[in-house]
Amino acid sequence: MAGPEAASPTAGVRPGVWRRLRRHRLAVASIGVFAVLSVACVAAPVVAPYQFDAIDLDSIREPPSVVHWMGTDDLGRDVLTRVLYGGRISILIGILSAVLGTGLGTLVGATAGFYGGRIEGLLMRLTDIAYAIPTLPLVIVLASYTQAAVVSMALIIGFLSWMATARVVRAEVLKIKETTYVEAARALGARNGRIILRHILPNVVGSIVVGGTLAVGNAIILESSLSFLGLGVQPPTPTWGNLLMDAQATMATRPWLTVFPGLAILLIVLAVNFVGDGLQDALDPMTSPR
Amino acid sequence: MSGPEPLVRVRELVKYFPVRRGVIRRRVGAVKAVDGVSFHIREGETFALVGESGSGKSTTGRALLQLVRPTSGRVAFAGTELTGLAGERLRRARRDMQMVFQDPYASLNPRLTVGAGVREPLDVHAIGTASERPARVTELLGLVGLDPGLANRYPHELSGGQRQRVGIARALATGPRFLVADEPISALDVSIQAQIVNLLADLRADLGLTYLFIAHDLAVVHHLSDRVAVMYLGRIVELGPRDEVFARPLHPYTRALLDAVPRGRSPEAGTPQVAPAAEMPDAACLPVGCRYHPRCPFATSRCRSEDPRPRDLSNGGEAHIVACHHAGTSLVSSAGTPPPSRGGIGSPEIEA
Repeated sequence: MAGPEAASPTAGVRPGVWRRLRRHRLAVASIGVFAVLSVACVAAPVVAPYQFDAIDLDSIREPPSVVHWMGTDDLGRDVLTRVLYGGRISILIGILSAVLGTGLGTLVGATAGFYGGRIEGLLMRLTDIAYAIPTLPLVIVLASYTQAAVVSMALIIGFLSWMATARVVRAEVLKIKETTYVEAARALGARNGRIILRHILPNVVGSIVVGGTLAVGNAIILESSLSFLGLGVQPPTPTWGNLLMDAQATMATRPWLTVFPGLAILLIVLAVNFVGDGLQDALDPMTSPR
Repeated sequence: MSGPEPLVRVRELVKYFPVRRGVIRRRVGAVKAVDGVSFHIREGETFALVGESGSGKSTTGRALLQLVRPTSGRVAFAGTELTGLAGERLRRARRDMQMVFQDPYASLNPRLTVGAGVREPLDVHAIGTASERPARVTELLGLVGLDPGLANRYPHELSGGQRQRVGIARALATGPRFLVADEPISALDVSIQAQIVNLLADLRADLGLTYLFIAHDLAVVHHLSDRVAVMYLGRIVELGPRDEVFARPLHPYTRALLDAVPRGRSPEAGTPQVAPAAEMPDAACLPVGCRYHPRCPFATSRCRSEDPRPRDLSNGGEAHIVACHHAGTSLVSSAGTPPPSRGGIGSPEIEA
């Protein structure tokens, strides 16, 4: 472990994160998949073979072919084009709301677990209440008051998905704040902020990463439910969610309309999960070199 | 007792932990972990606190450093009263008093490299400039006998002895005057223990440190300490100069502890064995009278009803305090108990 980076005795908090991540082949492959998909979606106007809302009544409901790789829908729109455009919104909403929800959950959970007492009681009852409210009706109410823009969708979904993270983080913080190394940090005169950020949260990072990766998938799916109800991003702008929902009725007869957006969601969610897995191992210095 | 004001003065220190039960966490009692402990530690002295687990010795050390807040009592460090200090003032006071922990596997953050861990006190107290700190870390690692190249290693890559050296380096980083060493060797291999004891002794000499050395192992205490206090169920039952306590133990419990020190040979004929009769009682449910009476072979009816007050039984000179009704009487004669100074655990290596 000493090797080439033995130069500075205090270089970085955790040297070797990248080195450990690179050993995780599935994570590296997933980063590749994620990058390719994201770039393709962001560059959709350049990459996509058609306009996302270009109707071609001469070629409706065509199965995949050389001209339309993923077939066409009821209005003759190219599915590949729509999947690419849809990804721009779905990936953005997924990542943004996962970051927001996980960040908020971590903040609430860490504050509750660390300070305890009344603060903990208040925050955790708040979490229970937020959990008890059925998500979908609340989202419907919130969404009807806001513009169905990407950012507001991400905000709404993020604000509704912090509770699980908050509970897990609180439980972990409760455990870690009793460790001797936290007491040692206090004994040497560290302030609370330093103890939380440097000694407690790095040791909770595994749960946070797992929660975050799961949240990405959930957010994409929640967005699709909203789109299906007409409260998400409005047609003709495609998202993976509304592509999937629009094609629900014809799943048996025209499977390409559901299979490709479904595959796209699957790929992204899987990739994020594998990256999260790899990151969790890479952030843990105890992971032995393989 | 006279002379300059001691570096540390602890008066009537008390720490009760509430025992709560039921749904509403009603307080139903208290564990009297530390129950009226008084002592002082002079500058440059090593004061040993000895006792079984559960005797309150670790809690005393932690309450002294305000890592647990005492229920009552006072702790003065270098003339400053610590019990009332909070926030920034307490934080600054911590620069001068540090702690070495028992378990070197638990006391180092597994996510921080050795260098980052030793550097942290420098960052916390803004000691030196950011560019000077790596050099200071190297110096500290050298001071405790570690290769500075270990700075980039993580704790799990080190041995127990190396980790404990890291813990000591971290404690020394702020340049403290006073160290609380909470059983610093009891979690280590026997072969490593002597090295750490010698390191602590060398550091004391080189840096002019004052120690509160908490231990359950009397052999180690004999090697390192100047004065010894024996704790039992939250109280100090005997306190005196090391040689006095080892040669002339006055409290039956101290004698039992000394008898428990392995000497590598059978007990001499005629030495009465005073091994405790049973396990130590629960600190949440203390015996009436002398706390030691349920285990004491010399207990009389007075011991079962009246709590003994500490008395000074020294023959002039340094105080030798004992809390026992019968100490110094023919009932509890300590004659014939040989000092266990030689042949104790690790002694050959320690002497080397």
